[in-house]
Amino acid sequence: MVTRVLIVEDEPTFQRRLSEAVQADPQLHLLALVSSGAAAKALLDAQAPDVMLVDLGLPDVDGLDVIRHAARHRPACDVMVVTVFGDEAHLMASIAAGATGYLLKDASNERIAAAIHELRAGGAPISPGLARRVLAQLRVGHGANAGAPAASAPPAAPGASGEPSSPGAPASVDSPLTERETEILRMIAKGLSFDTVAGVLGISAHTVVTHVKKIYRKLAVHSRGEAVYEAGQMGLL
Amino acid sequence: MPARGRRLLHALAAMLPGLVAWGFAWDSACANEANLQRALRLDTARLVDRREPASPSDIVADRPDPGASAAASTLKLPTRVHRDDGNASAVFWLEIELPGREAMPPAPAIYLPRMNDGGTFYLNGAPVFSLPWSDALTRVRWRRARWFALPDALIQPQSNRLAVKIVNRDFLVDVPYLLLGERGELERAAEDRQWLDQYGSQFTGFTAVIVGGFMLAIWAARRREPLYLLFGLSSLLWAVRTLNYSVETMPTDLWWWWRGFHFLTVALATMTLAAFFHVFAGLSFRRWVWPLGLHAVAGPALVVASSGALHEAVYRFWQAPLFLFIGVALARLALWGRRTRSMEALVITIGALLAIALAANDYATVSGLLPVTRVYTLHLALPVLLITIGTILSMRFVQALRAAEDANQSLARRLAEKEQELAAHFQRLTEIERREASAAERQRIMHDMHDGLGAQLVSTLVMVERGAAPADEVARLLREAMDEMRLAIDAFGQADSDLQAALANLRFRMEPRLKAAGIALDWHSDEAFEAVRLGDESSLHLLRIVQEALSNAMRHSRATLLKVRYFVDHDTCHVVIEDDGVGLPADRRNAGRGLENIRRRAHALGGEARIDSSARGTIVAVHFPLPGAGAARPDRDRASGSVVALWPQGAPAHPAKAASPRQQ
Repeated sequence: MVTRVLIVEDEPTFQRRLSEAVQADPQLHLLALVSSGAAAKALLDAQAPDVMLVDLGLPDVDGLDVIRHAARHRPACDVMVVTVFGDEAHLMASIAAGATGYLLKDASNERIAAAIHELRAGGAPISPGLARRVLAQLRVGHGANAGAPAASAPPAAPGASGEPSSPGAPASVDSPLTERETEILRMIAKGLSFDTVAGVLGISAHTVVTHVKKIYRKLAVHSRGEAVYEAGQMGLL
Repeated sequence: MPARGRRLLHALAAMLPGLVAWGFAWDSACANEANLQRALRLDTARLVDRREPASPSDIVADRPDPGASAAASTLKLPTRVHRDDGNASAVFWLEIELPGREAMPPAPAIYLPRMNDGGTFYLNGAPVFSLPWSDALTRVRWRRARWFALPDALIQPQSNRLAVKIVNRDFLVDVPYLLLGERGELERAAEDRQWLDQYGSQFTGFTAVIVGGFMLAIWAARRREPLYLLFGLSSLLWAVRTLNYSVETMPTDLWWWWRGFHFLTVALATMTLAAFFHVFAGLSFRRWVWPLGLHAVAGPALVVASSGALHEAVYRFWQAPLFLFIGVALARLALWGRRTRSMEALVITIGALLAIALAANDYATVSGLLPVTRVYTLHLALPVLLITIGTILSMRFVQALRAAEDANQSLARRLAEKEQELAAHFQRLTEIERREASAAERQRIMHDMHDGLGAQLVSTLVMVERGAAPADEVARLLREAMDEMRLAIDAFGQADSDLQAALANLRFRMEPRLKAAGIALDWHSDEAFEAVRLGDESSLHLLRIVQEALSNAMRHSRATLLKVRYFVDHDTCHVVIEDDGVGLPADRRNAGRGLENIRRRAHALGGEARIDSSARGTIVAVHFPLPGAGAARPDRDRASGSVVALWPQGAPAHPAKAASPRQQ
């Protein structure tokens, strides 16, 4: 089955780069390439892409708006943020809005295609900085101290434990994450590669990235819940 | 509570005991024996005779003479008979009519409120009561009330006659009124009166000694406060004066000395009190000292020198001016108090006025202006003044102590305030320094990026424009520029950036690349190093060192294993990057820009870099002082010489290539 891809990018160079990468892969089909947020929303209303690649710096609207639009109207669509450096603050906002993947702009054509396939297969990319932020945000209730460095937590010992005592249970009262998920995040935060994490935990690298995607979903739900909570606090609801 | 209100309260508290004592004294003086309603007051007597006996034995032998009653003159009691021939013994005979048995109470008795002289009482010619009188050896001056029973056997049914023999040796003969009443009742009245006249005076003397001693003790500790000295002396003098009420008999030889001493203590007590009033008001007493001193000495001297001849004159005319002196001194104090609105002066004035009123009562009593049987009150009045002034002086003392304490406290408070200010200054200064340091650091980083990243981009641009560069070389150079930038962002581009996170990012980024180049990455950081925090600039230096070493290994080493070790040893941070490759190309060994950069950056960290390359691999070892660990010990590390010593677990510095697959 072919994956239909929507590209939302205003810069010609990367338009070309991204569309080339998609078109070069027989498993991918370029559904549309638009250069504005308004066009992206209109297209999302009309069509149902499987994957949307979106640049946050659009000329007309905030890229986050487009992501939220997609998450609301096309929940089956995987959203992938295109970013220069993988800047963590923006990525966190994107994930909260509903994105589950991100793509560095310097990635090769093969890497771009591979990332899309990975995302469709249920995996998601992550970096140590991002893992720290996720840990920080989900560990403390309501994100009051989301900016606190995750390093304040005791570092996980990657080689020390094979199996956590109860893999399905939440790591703490406040955190929606399971112990396994927390463990993975901690290892990644220390800079361990997916392969190494997989090796330590005795699971496949694919399972690791599947966990990551689940974590992103929780983060989005958590963030929405938080938004609802805050709106309630402000008397908006 | 406002200060004035509090002072008023203190003043009232100081006066209260004095007022109570005064009220008691005045009430006693006026109301004594008033409750003896059932007693018959005998206030009429007949003076039947006056005789000058030739010898003491004549006095003893003298008996009532019924026949002499015709020449009698009637006296209204109490009364005072003046004698011009004061110092010779004289016998005065009085007769008092008593009712018949029917009109007498059961167990009848006679009560004498005051009888200064000795003498004998005869009922119907028989002696029933006798008091010793002054003779050649002893002078008496009785101070207490007396009572004696009338023997039943001597009482006549119709009428009875009480004859009184008074033996006098003074210029005055005081005759009290008498009470005829029931014996028990009169006994109690006599006890009451004795309590007031004698025990009261003893209590006063005791109080005055205590207060005076206390004040003198304070003065001994604070010699510069004459108030305590004056008041202490005055108190002690008053204490001595009250002895007058307790000493009733005295050897005749010493009699006039004793009287002189009495007068002297009264005068000196008055004088010191007047001086006290002056000093209290801050007025000069100097010009009063001589006149008052002379006066104080003159009266007693005249009494002693004249052997009592001038006793009456001194008694009358020398004592009265003492009232004047103390009155003037008190008036000056009162005026000063009024001007300065001094509550203390007001209290002292009131206390002194009350005391003077009681003293005047005594003076009036002894000089015949008031009935001679009145209770003496000055000794009861003294506690008024003593307690009032004592309280005020004690309060002053306490206030002085408190003022000293307050001064200490305010000093301590001001010191604390200054310390706080200083701390705030210091904090501000630190903050400014920190901001300046941070600005300077940012400046250096921008400078560094300009020199590093900028130069790299420019050289790449030139290569591209010349058309001389192959595309992959350009891509590599640009990728390097991006890595450089990424490091900078990791190091200081984010609010929560820290060294450990940046190193993790670097590792995460480099590991796949190394893997793609066929190099396994063995990366280990010990616990102590994981706690290391560096500033933005230092973080960037360290990140660039590691990145440079990793890039070099990736490009040139053809290694299969790259070991990166971070550890802290003796307050020194160590970073060792070791590959099992072919070593650095010979022509670039010491000239490579990258290696030179590593050395420069290690130096910027306050440490050193050693680069050791051989055909078996390359080791880049960097050490720098642990931040916040105080003085680092680079000498010691330098002295350790070999890079081998840097491996904490004693692993070989140049692991054999054969061993590397096992590491994976």
